[in-house]
Amino acid sequence: MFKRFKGFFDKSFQRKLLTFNLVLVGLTTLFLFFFLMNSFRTITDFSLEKNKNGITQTVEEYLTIYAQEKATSTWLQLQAAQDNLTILGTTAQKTLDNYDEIKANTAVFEIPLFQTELVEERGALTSPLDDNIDALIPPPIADNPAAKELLAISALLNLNMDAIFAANDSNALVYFVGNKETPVTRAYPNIHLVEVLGDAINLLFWQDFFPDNVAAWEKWYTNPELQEQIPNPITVEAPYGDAAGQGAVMTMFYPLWDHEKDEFAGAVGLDISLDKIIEDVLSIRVAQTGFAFLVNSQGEVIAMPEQAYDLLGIEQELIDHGGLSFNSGLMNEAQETAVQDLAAALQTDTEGVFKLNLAADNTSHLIAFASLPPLSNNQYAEDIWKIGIVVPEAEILEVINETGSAITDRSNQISTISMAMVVGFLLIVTFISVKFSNSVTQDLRTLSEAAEEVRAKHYDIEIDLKSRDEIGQLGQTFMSMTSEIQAYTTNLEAMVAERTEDLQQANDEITRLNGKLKDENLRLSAELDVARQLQMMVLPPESETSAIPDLDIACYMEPADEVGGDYYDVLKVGESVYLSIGDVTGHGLSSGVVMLMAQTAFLTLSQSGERDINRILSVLNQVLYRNILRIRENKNMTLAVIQYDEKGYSVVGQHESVIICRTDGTIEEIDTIDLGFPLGLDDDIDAFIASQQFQLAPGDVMLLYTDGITEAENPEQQQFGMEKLKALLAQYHDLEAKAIMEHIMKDVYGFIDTTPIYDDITMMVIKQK
Amino acid sequence: MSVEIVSGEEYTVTYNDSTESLTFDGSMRLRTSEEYEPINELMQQALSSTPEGNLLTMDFSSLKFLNSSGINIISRFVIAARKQGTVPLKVVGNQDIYWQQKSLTNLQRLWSSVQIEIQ
Repeated sequence: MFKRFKGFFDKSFQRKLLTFNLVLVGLTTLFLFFFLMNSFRTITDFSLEKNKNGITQTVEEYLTIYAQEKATSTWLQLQAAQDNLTILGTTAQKTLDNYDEIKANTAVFEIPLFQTELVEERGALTSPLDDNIDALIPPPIADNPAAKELLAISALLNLNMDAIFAANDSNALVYFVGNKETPVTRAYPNIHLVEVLGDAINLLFWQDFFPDNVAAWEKWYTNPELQEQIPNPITVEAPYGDAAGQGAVMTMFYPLWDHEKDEFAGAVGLDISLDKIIEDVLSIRVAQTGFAFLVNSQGEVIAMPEQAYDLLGIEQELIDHGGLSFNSGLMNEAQETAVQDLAAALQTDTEGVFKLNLAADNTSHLIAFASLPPLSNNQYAEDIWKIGIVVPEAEILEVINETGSAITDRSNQISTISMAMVVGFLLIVTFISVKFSNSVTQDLRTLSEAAEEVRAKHYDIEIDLKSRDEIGQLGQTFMSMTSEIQAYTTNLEAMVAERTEDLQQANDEITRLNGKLKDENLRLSAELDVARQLQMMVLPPESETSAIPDLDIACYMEPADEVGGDYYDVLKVGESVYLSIGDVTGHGLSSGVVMLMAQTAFLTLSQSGERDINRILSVLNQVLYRNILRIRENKNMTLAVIQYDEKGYSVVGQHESVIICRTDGTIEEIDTIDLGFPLGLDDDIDAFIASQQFQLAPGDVMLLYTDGITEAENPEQQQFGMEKLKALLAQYHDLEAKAIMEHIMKDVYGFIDTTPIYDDITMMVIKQK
Repeated sequence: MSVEIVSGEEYTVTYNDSTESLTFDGSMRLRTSEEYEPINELMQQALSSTPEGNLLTMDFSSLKFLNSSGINIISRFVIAARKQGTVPLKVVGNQDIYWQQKSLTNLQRLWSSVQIEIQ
């Protein structure tokens, strides 16, 4: 699989280019896309969270303020009731304070307003039904004159009782009750208590209905500290549902005092209907199902919608209290502990927000609560009412959740659009890449196909490349190469033929030139051969030299690479032996010719019977001088001739020195510089010709040589020199002539080593026998 | 003043017309008289450039080696000078150099007016 994959990419440059391009763009785009989308989502979630927190906080603040506001408005009604009661109480207290004076002024009671008309009914004395005022003396004290007197005097309260009642819509009943002994009642409006009380008509008000109140009031009255702590003497009773259809009612008392006797003198009371308050509370609607409730310090529910009792699991029970029966629900006795916790929080905290999680239906509620100012209960303990506003959290968060889901929807929408854009973009990039790579690689493919064609030997191709870049240049180069190959292929035969002909011609020319060269070489070689042969030919053969009596002669001659002009000879003419050695200047055939002339002339002269070697030399000079002029060669020659006969040796002619080694090894040198002159240089050299005589004893050795030996050079360009030659002769003089010669030559060649030999080397060793 | 020079691998021949002298340096071992021709021409030029009666100096004191072809050329130049007879020659040699010991003497033999100065 992977191989196939790899093959797919390997075989096409376009695919490589395309893949590279798309992978690069794709990776970059996807990376950026996911990065940006992630960032977008993070920001969205972050703002949602912030928003949620913000809204929750705002809602809590709003609910709290709402609860505070509702507490204030509720309190206003309670406050109004208390104010009304205080006015009535103050009036009643003043009446009691002036009891005796009022009693004494009977005329006051002549005023119809202050008259108290009583009729007997059910054993009690009561106002008639059509009276505005509802006065009552219960049956147990109906015969008590003090009761009648107190009731009569309390008629002064008629003055403002109706006004006080009218001051507040919620006022259900205002009334005065006498002291413990004479608990007469004066109430407004006339509700005909004698019937309303039913069986309780025979009960005494304080003793039977409110047995604990009087003691508490007395305690307050006798305790200045308590008075200072709670300046308002009003106490409230727990609210109750009136079984007689008055609805929820609450009673407030304002105690009255007999300041002379310092004892309890009765109280004014106010029954207020809580309906309005409850209605207000129940009318509160927050969100869809949010509601409000009102509880007192004991956790007694004052106001709460019916369905809320079920929701919070608070049971209502019918309570009989002092002849009154009413429904009561206690929040702190609710079934759910969460609700109990709420009740505890309501008791301890003045205000706040409580989060209620109900296990029953697994719902959360946000409860903001605030306190009303404190009331005093019938024991002067604070009774602080709390108003709570309950909102299901789901409803609060609904907006947030709606916002959240809207944002999420929008975010998803944006994601989808972005994804679509990315995909679209990638498609466009892919399309452009394909197009571009196609157009970029089109020429490459064309070239590749063209190359395939050429490989198949189809040279007749035309390629048209659009590119003007490097590929275009490559195409042009390819085309020119192809046409060159085509030209070569097509014209190969003709070209081969042409080249072959050229080569043939060249070969002919070379052969011809080679032949010519060969001729020339042959000619030169022949010339050299002739010269060398001439030179060697005229040298005396060993048979001749060895035939000389008394003398042991060894000769050596090695012409230089080119033919030189050295010459030596040994002639026996009669009793005389002529030894000659010479050197023609220069090299080559002409030098050989000059040498040959000299040899011929010397031979001729010696054979002609001339014995005067001075004369022989003089004639030789003239012959050579003239011949050299004739052959127009710029040559001359040194030549020494030694004549040996019974008288000894004579040497004539200018040449190298004659070296003699005596038997004892002493070396003698005969300088020939003053014995002649180079031959062929000047026409007359007679003035310079002289001869010198010397003797050789048996064993003495004479050495003749040319400058080829003394001027032979080693690689360091040092010359062999005379001294070395003399030393060698001295070293080997005991040997035979030939052996001496061989040793010296070996030494000379060892000295020359690899240096080219420029000059002929010639040497003669003559040992006297 | 003009100085003319003929030189080869191992030698230099200088003609200085202000001192009227030919100076030979190095070693001269040319193979043929044809190869010596440029030197011969320089010597002939020196001879013709030197005013009548003035001495032309040939200084061989720094010429370490001269082969027989060279000696031949010098000898023939002396003969040519002798034949012209207007410019006497002075030959300066070095007694430590072997070839000069006999060859320079020969120059005086060719023309007795040649002054030989061996240093």
